[in-house]
Amino acid sequence: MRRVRRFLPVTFVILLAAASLYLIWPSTPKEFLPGGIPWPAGKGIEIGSFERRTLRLGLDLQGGTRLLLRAEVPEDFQGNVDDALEGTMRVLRKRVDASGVSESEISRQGDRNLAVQLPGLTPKRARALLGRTAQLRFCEPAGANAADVGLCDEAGEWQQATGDVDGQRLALTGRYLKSNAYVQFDQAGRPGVGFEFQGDGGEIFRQITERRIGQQIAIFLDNEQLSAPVVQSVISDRGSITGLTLERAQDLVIQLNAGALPLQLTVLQEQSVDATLGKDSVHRSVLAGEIGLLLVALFMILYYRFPGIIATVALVVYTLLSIALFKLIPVTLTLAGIGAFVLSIGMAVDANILIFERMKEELRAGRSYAAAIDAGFSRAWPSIRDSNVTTLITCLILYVLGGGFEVPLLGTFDAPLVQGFAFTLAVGVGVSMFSAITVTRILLHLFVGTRISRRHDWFVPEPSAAAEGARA
Amino acid sequence: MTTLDLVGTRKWSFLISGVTALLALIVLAIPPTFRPGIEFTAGSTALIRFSKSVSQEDLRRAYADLGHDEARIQQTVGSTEYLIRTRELQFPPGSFTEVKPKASATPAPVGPEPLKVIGTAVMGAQGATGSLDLLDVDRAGACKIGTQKLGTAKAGDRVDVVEILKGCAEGDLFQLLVGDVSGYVAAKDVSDYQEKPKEAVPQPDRGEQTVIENGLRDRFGEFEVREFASVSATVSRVAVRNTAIAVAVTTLFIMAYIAFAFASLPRPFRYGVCAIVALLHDVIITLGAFSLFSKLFHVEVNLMFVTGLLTVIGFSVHDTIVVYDRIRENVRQSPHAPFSSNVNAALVQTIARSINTSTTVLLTVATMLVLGGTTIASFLLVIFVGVAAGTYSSIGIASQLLVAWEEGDLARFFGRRREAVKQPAS
Repeated sequence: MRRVRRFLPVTFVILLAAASLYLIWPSTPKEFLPGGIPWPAGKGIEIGSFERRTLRLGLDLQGGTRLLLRAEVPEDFQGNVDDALEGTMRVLRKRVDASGVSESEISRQGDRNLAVQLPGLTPKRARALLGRTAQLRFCEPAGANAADVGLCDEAGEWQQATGDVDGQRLALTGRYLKSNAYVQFDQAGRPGVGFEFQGDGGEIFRQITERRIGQQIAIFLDNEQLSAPVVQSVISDRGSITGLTLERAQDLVIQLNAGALPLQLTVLQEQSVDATLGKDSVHRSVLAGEIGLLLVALFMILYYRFPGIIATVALVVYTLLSIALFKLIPVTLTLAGIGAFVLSIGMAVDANILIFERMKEELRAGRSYAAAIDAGFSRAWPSIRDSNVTTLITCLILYVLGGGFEVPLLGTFDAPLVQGFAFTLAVGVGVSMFSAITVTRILLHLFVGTRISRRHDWFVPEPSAAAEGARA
Repeated sequence: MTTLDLVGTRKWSFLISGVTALLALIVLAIPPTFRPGIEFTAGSTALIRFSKSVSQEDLRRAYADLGHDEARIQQTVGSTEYLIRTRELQFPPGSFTEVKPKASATPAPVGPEPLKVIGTAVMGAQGATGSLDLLDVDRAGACKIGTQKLGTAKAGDRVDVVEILKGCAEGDLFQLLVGDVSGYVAAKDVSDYQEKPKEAVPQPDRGEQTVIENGLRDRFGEFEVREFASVSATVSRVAVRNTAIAVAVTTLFIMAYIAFAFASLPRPFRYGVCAIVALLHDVIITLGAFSLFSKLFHVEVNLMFVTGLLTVIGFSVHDTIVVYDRIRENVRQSPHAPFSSNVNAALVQTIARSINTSTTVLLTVATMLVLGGTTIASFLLVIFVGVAAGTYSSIGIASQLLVAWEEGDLARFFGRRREAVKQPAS
């Protein structure tokens, strides 16, 4: 029983570490490990649609897809072209962010072109998401006045559905939608898109459905008919689009919520591009980082002796767990993320050092190994807690501010630059607290009652202090 | 070890910090404070296809030699094409206007345009002897070699090639120039065709772009510029300003949390304030150091720098709090001891930890600086300077300020000699 109690936690740690290692083993080991050794390629995991084959890396570390888009300005365009381009960029950015792709880059190039770089999207998906104007229109069967209100399709079967508000005839379009469209599933489990109206939209839709009850209406995206439901009852506040594939529904939700593009875009070029920091440079830095960690391990073992070994093992477990979490969530790691990770490694090491320094003091004061572990942990805990909680608060605030919100009178405030950093740091600090408290403790407890635990000189380097401790 | 009097040396640590921070501020005040990185400024982007494969590192070095160490170089996957973003290229004043159309010095001869030689070839198939006829050609439809004999040439002679007609009925046809006579032969009747090296066409002076293109041509041979355009900044200045605001808001919350965490001690608010002063100290010194690097070594402030600074801030607060925690413990254990001796004990007890923790971070960063790729050097440099400053300030500033505040150093310094409020010794 005592044996089980002693080895069960260790087994747990080993299993956790092994599972993480399996999960994060890179599919292209050559890029992350020293050359010359035939490393096996990792597979990651894949359960159903949940797929984590590769760690998501940002443009700076791995590259991605570059699209060069040309904004088509119609001949009869009225208004400022620069403003329209800025608006187009804003909508593109919203669409990209909403699709879960972080760390993208959008810039204006030349007169009418926009260059977009996206990490991790296939060119096909990137085009589908970015290229559409996403002008949504509600239409009814064409009548006598079709030419006046505008046609929806080239065949002339549908005309824009309108309603009268305050004596004005208004066509129902995507601009009357609240930007909270969502993917929904009907009873048969088929995906669709649900939406709500805002402003006069509800009133217009009420008039249309009243007029067309029992008849078909149609919903068009750009010039494509998405669905043509039969009006069952008078509806005013919400509606839905059915008959879409799941991916299509997800894209449509993103496009509707981000708003329509002011200008139509065509793809001039698409390329897969490498890391902005340079593939070879990243490779060298990764190897250098690995050597750096080895030096840290060496330093810890030389300075702290036996606990140094424990700390090194805990550090390895910590690193594996963090990267596994990054991959699972998934976090798009950029250089900023790596910075956060280096910081959190520093904090993980620090937590261990705090505990060991306290243990040393306890051992010097003549306590037994087991008592020193517990006293060391309980006395180091407040400083580990306070320093890490401060960091977590920092992360939380940076993340929330990064997300953006409306400031009265001043407009939208957002600081997206630091969001990735904050998120990665929070994950890192969370794991670091776990590993310092649990993993280090479990490993130290493993040696209670063994010969090692009586060798105080393995813990306290100064022989005189150890002797004093033994005498006291 | 307990005899080490760190608190007693606070005059010196304040002096050192004060002078360093002042120097940093002076450096920051001298324009240009920073050189903004290409993320924040408009620039030029070029898509260049090289005729042979070129390594990214060589290309980066070439750009650095040409004065563009900021260039961001991305290879497009599976080709010799590179996407290169640089600062806006300079056009020297007048470089456009000075390229004036010149009056032709050599008037074009009247009459049919002279034939232009594009290469040379050896007459006859390999090893053939005798002479070959030069014939006329019927260019209508699929070009066909004619029957009219225009001249002859001896097999084995090297003659000039004027034109190659591709995809004719009998395969390619070569138009040759032998002496004054020009005529056609089938491709099977010539061998060892050699293209004449293209004459370097003088490029119009487009300022720095021309300098770069010539520099690249010297190093990597021919290339084709497939795209060249000016680009906007990828990160707006508003985003950077907002980041600064977000960080400022964060420090307020940190201050509040520290005051809350140390609420069991007298005057907990001071801990928060002193931690933030120490933080400011670290940030100013890091910024100053970077401004100096900017001026001396053309180091730029880019997004990596922003991230590095955030890392430094996180580290600084973390380090300070660990020392404060020890002060809290000591004050609780011996509430009647003088505050300064409690602080001193805390410093002595944590100094090994502070130095060791920083050593591990500095060790990693230094290794990456020396061995790693050059592209992230600025990021590592910030962390190195900032962590070093942070370690020093957690020992020499953050806690010492508490003592100075407690003992009224500031008031004494300004001559308003006031009896220092000292707690009774235990």
